[in-house]
Amino acid sequence: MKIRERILVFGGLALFFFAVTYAFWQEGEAKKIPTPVAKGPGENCVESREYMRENHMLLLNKWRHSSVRDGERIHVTPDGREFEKSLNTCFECHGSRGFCINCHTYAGAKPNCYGCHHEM
Amino acid sequence: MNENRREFIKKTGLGVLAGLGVASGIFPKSSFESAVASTTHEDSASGRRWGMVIDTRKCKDGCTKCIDACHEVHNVPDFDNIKDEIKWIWKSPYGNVFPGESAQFVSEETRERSYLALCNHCDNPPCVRACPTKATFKRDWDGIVAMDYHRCIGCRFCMAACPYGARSFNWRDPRPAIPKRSQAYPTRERGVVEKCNFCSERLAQGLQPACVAACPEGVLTFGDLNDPESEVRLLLEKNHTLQRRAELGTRPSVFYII
Repeated sequence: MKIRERILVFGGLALFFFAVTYAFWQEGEAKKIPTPVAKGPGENCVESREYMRENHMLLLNKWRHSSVRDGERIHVTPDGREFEKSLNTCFECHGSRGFCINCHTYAGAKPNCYGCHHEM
Repeated sequence: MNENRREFIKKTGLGVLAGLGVASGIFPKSSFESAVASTTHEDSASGRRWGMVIDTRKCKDGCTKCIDACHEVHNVPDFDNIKDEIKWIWKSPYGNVFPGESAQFVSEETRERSYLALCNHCDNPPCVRACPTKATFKRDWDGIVAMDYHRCIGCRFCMAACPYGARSFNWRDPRPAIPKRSQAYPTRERGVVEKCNFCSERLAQGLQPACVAACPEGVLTFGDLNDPESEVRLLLEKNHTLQRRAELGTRPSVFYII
């Protein structure tokens, strides 16, 4: 093998490994999880912050099912507060799309709520 | 060897026949028969059953106040194109609304008038049986045939099943075609079926349906069909009424005074 060919082969390999491992050369940290803050008349949400962060979609599904199918339109929290089961109830404190979009963009979640529901 | 095989087949055959005989004794009806039986007339479920009486004698030709009110409240799009049309409540000629009724020597006045049509909120709704995702369902506590648009996959089986043409499909994105968007009620998306919901969202607030509230002539009367004292039942008691295509056994909750 001629020395010129060797340079080509090993140069190419070096370039390839650099390209593959490029991401690991970067300095830095993971992107911070956004923590949007609700502001509005209510002091506390229907459930704890931790629960809502993880399970708000399940709660919304439950609300939809029980209000539309069983006609139970009022949600009562364990400490006796009452809420109308409606996305509009959420919007009263959480604003609208701006609040949702923070984490959904971070998590790559693309729910289609606003295809039908109005942004407030 | 041959003899044994013949004996074996004979005995097995007899055994199967005997088994079938016993099974037919245990299950007297085939599943097909029981499916037919559920369409025959029977008393409606207990609880409320919302219904409507339409006094077509009072309905003014050319007036569309109820239609406008309904379509505004529920964000029903107006595409100005019959192929894309979405309708919750609309007016149709006599022959279209009552295809089974007498067509001979019907008075000119009856023939010429147009009649309000909307979802009948059947007591025995064929659309609910057709829906593969349970996106449409009958609420057994108030008789409303409701829809959960989240679950609708747009298969349109319900549209084929509905004998009244009360369901419309969103072929196009409805939002650009909504003249004035009402914030109190969501819109729909392309690819779902929609229809009249008897204003279940207004009933929950103790209001009358939008069409009933909008009619200046008192054509529409709304109430509980299961309550013998209700206004609708008194009207039904005093007048001869028609249900649309009653012969189908869907038991509509909308009644017409002709």
